[in-house]
Amino acid sequence: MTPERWREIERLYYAALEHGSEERAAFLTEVCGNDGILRREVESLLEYHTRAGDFIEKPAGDGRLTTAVRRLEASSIPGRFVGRMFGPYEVKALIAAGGMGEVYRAVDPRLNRTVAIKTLPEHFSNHPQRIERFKREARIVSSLNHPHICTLHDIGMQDDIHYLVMEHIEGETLEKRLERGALPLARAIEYSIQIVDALNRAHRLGVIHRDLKPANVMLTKSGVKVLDFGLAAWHRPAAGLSADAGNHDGSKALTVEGTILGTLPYSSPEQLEGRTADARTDMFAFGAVAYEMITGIRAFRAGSQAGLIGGILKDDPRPIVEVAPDVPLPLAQALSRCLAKDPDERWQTANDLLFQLRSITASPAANEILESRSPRLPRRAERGLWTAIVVASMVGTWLWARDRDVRPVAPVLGTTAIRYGLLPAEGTAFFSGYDLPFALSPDGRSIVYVGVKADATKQLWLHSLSAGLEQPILGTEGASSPFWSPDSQWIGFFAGNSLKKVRVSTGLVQIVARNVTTYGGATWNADDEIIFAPARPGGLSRVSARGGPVSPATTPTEGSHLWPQFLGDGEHFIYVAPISGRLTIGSLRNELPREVMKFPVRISSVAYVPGYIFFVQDSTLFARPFDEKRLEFSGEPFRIVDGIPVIGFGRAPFSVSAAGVLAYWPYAVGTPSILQWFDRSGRASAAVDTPAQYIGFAISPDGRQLALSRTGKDGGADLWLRDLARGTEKQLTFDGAAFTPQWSPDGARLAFSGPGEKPPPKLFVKNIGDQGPAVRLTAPATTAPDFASGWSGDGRSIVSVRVNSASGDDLWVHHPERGASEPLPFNTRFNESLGKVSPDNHWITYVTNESGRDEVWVARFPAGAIRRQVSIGGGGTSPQWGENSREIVYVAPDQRLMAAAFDGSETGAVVGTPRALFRIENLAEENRSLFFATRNDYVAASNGQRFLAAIRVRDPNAPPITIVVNWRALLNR
Amino acid sequence: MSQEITQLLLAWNQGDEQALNQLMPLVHGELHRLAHHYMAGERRGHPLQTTALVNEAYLRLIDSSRVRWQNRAHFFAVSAQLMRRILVDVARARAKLKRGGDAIQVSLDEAMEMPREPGADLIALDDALTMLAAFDERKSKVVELRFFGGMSVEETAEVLGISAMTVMRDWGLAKVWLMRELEKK
Repeated sequence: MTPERWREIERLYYAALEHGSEERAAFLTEVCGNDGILRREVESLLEYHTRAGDFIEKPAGDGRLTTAVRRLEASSIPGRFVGRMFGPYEVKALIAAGGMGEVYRAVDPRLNRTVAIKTLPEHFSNHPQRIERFKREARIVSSLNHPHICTLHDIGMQDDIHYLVMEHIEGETLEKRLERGALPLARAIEYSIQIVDALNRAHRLGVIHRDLKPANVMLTKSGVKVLDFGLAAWHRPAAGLSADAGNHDGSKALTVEGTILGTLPYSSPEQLEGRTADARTDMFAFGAVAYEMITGIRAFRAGSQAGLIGGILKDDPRPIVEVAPDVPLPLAQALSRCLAKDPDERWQTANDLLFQLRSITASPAANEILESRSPRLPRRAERGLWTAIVVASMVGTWLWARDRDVRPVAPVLGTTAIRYGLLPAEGTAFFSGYDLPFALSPDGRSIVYVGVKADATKQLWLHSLSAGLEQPILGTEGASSPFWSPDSQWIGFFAGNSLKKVRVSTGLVQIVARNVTTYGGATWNADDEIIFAPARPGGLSRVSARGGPVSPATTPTEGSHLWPQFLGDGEHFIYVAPISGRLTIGSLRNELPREVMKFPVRISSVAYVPGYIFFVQDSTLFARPFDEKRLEFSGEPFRIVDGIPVIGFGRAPFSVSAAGVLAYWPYAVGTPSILQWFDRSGRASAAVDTPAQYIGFAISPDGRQLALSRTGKDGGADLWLRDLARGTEKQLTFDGAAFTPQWSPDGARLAFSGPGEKPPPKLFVKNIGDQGPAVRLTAPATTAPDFASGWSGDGRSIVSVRVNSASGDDLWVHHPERGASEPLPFNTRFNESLGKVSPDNHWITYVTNESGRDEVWVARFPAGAIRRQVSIGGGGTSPQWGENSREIVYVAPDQRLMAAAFDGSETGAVVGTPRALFRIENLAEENRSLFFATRNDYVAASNGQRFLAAIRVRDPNAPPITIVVNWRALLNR
Repeated sequence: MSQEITQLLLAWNQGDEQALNQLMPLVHGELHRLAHHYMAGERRGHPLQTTALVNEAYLRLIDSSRVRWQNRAHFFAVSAQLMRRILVDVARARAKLKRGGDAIQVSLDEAMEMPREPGADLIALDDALTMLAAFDERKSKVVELRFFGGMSVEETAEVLGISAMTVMRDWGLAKVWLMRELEKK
């Protein structure tokens, strides 16, 4: 038989099968014609079709080859998964291999994120009940979103191999580090707090680690990461599992696998005895780990396994202060309590221990203890002595010891800062916008932050740093830009177009001033004067915290003033002028403002504590010594921490308290969103899945490319071109300051906005095809921000929105060929923005708040001879032209996408009644005032049939706020 | 020894037919050794299947830790091919035995005191597969991987770089064709 003949047979065979048996004969007669051999061949095969049944369905090897090969693979080819896919993950390299499975580095291409994949031992698959429990616990573990817990992203199974997808962490294990001996005390304390913080979060969700040991603690630049929460249950068939404890003889289980040996020194007595493990089991293991970090020696050591087990069950470890005399007594006591044999005598919760550890490092009393440094005891001091010191019954020895060691020493905490992460309350995220979303109380005890829920509602939350507790503040819905009164009794905030204050102790909310909003921060002095930066171009405003009229606090010569902060005298304040890039001192008594610094790179928000002014340059937080009497800097800046992004007009998310606490948030993204397509019926499909902050995006006229502005890690925004079909991207600008791209009708050029050499934003045009620089259209001396809004239909002029404090936002037209520009004649003293010229070049649709709220209008372009209101029934924004200039689509305030038919001529225009197409759930809306004068939340594709919208999402990678206790320690590094 | 076998196996896979000629005596040697081992009593009373024995022998021989297989698909493909060869060889040996074979084969067959395995006549199937390969190589491979390699549809698809749907179709027609061929005899 020839292959060709065979293919024909195959084709007819399958075609015939699609016909019912009664039709087959007719079908074959038709297709085979006179070829009787062909027909018989197909017919005979069809006959066997019904008879083949199980023929060779059972593999010759009974399927045992594959099973065996898989087992063989699982046990003896480390790295065999490299280059393969595990579910959606591309396995890249083997990181580690051992009896507990293997760890690989892999990439999740959907998020372009590096992850670690841990395979579980193959024998694990043979226990269905354990697998069920594994899955159940993994779900809980994956919800342990905590800065010091290695995040479990996903679990899966491939070829009978169960695997875990985890956060990829770079660093060394604590086990490796301990090979080099004890950690510096301050570092050991810092890590201890972080580990207990992690345990606390896990325990609150009912997850017990069960196998805490140095090998399960990774040391990274940002502190520790505890690995393998709850996984001990899967590695160890017994040894104190909570669910099936009692069925196993723990000590027997410990000898089953050699791998258990590494765990043994950190096992608790109850685990060794095969009793139930609970949160207190982790306390014991933590005690052993902390003991080793501080002393450099294991809490329990023995020459044999039996000796080790006996030691854990019966003996107390050598007292810490005996081994490491520098250790503060309260810390030694706290750890001693962790290592109690009886769980009832240990710390009962990680929360209690955490509180204790933090108070050791944060309370003034404990600082004194730390500063006084425990006496160095003579080596021959016996074990009982330690206890004796605790009860202070051997005063003589104590004094003797002190006398021997009287030279002053640097306080332990004086040389280090303790860091830990603060997560938002369950179910909320830190609000990420263009104002400051959190503030530390001046007394350093609390932090207030704006928490945003999944439904985008905002509220203030108060987190007590000393108690580790958090609570929502009622009556603060919609709040932004919180700030404190100097006595830490009140929190000021902006909500509902008003400035409000809430008394922390009672929850009483009062309105301070109406019709005010801010994006540039506020400050409050001891005389109850509040200065804030209103959300409009111009100077700072002041108002009494007790109420009363709002009056100007500064008079700008150019642009706006932002980020006010009172100095210690309550009379002078510092603020930032974005256009000049200067830090200036103002005064409530109308003294002349005096410039104290020009920001070397870009402006940032600032903070003041007695003696220092804080600001951010190039993502680094600096503290610069400041002499308040002479009102000038008295030294060079100290670098404090890196990684604080500056976005918008200098918003740098940090807060600092004179009490020694610093909070910062290493997160640049504003409201993270993804991009989705919608058809006219509202059916969504993916466009760009990676959460990012978009500052404008536009589809090319041919519908193939997307121009978008996206913020990077450092907070800057650059233009990118994305091929919509292939998903590839090309970066167009590189200076971190380009946004609101708009396509020319021929698709060859982009208009966009950016500050160029210095603020404010100006209008630029760039040819896409060449590498040449963008051409600036706005005159360099212009002090009003100019935002690209769209092109004329003939591609010869560009419409922009120019922000003007006197006349409100206005629409302008720029003519690059003539080098001229002028405002459109129908601007009012209210705000006109978001102008889009129709493809036929005769009309412009835009937004104006002339009526008191945003409404969509359409006007004859450019003269404005005919004007019609498009939106009805409650306002509208983000207008776009639909097909052939015959339809206007816009977004109603309830996020419904509305479409209105349009028919215009030289003499008149008819606008149809808008009808709702669909509602865009979670449309990412930004505060449009000033920044987003030209930002559309969705972009209509050129055919008016598809719409691209930014959809607000929770960013799973948003980091916690970092809390630094004792930031002054960072000054002298 | 296993390293030698591994090398031969790789050489065979790279097209060196001579390697297989050297390989098979080693495989049979191991089979023989295993058979005696089982005869010695450890597993007396257990029904011992040829395929199980072959599987075990094969896995003992292939020291995969020393082989950097291109990938898993490659390993499976080679294994399926070799399994076919071994099983068919064993079946031929048994057939020959019926006509009076030598001592080794006797003891091998004794080790396999079990009813004739269900399913197809392996020798005839092997011949038919070779015929099929002449005009439809891919279908022949699909059967080899699925029947001799015990691989799932998805795995077969992965090895051959075709869709699971195509594997299903190939499998369906190949089965029908093979069955008809076998019945012709």
